[in-house]
Amino acid sequence: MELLYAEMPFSRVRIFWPGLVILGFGVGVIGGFFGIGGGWMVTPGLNILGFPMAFAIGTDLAHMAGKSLVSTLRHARFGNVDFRLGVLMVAGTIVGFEAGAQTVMWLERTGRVDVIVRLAYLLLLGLVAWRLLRDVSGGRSDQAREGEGGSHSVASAALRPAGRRRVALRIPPVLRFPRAGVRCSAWCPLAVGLGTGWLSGLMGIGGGLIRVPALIYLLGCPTHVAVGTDLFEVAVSGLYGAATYAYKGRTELAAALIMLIGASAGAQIGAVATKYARGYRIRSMLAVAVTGCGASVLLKLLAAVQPQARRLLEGAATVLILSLVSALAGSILRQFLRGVRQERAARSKRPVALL
Amino acid sequence: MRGLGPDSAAARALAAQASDWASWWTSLYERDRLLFTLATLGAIVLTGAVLGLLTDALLKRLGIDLTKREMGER
Repeated sequence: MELLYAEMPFSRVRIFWPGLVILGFGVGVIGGFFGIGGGWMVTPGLNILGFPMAFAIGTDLAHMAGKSLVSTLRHARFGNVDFRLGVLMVAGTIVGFEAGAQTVMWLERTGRVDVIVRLAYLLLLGLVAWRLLRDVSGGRSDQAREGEGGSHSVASAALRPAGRRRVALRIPPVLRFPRAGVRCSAWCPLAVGLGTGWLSGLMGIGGGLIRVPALIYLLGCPTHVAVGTDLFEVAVSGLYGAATYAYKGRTELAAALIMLIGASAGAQIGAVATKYARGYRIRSMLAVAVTGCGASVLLKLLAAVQPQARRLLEGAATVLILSLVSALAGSILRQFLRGVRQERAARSKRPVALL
Repeated sequence: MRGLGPDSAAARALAAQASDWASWWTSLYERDRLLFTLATLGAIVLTGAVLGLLTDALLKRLGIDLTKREMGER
């Protein structure tokens, strides 16, 4: 049993390291499948595994930056990144991010960081779960419209407004973003970057859950440019986040690298699995996973106020989050493997053309 | 839980008990925070890039080419 635990050099906590592998790979698969970073699962997951909150945020950001690099480069090669828009947003993101990170350091000094960030997570996960469950319960018509393997995007599912609308702010300076094909006030992307950056710094999330719908519905970006530009933001803000948290001594590099190994493979597999998997059923499972993730955060909160039941509640929180991540990733993986097998079988049956 | 400060005596004592690499890593933070930050970033970028490219190559062998737009944009 001793071998399954490793002591982290900075936070001085003993961590069940197979949990890091499960979390990294599982969230990689889930994130790749739904087109999200999955930071909202990793930070609470790391905290539940035993990392103090500031370390959970810093370590999550480091692994997120590494994970998003290759997919960002790929999207850039496809021309999906509007660099002008991205660079402008990065300015807002970095300012917002540092404000969020400083908020975490201040909360840490006052001894309230765990409670406040966990409460923020409960709010965020509650909102996402509510939107997803509403989407699932009322989504039969969507399913018919999009087909069973239709849209998997959790961002659009979680925060889809009533209709596609654009807020045409014209406060000078008004700039043109050629790749995205939009003209808008420079303050719009700056404000989006500032808000999502603050959330990233405070909670260790990539912010795509809010940024992608904001780019689509607020600025009017085409979806593929919104996704590509968001990935660029995630990579840049992740690197900045990793740097600022590392400088503050709140990043456990070994844990981030362990997770990165699983997450890199998982993210690609998850992305490819969208070709084979049935989106609607998996989306229902995601709604359950988000709810369960919220429940495990709640158990961890209760453990802090119920010292006599602390071990039991913390154990239950760990088992719950790791089981949920494993079950959801396992389901996606099963469909991926079945799809690949069927495709290979079909390919081998195809008659070979004779020259 | 507070992180290790550069001047913390407790940090130095704890670092001495840790394994070799962990001890070297924590002492690097104590000696030079900027170098430590750059080393952290370098490790993340390098590992992310190598693992990402490795997975791309592995999936290509399975018949899934992520460098093609149809698959890569998923």
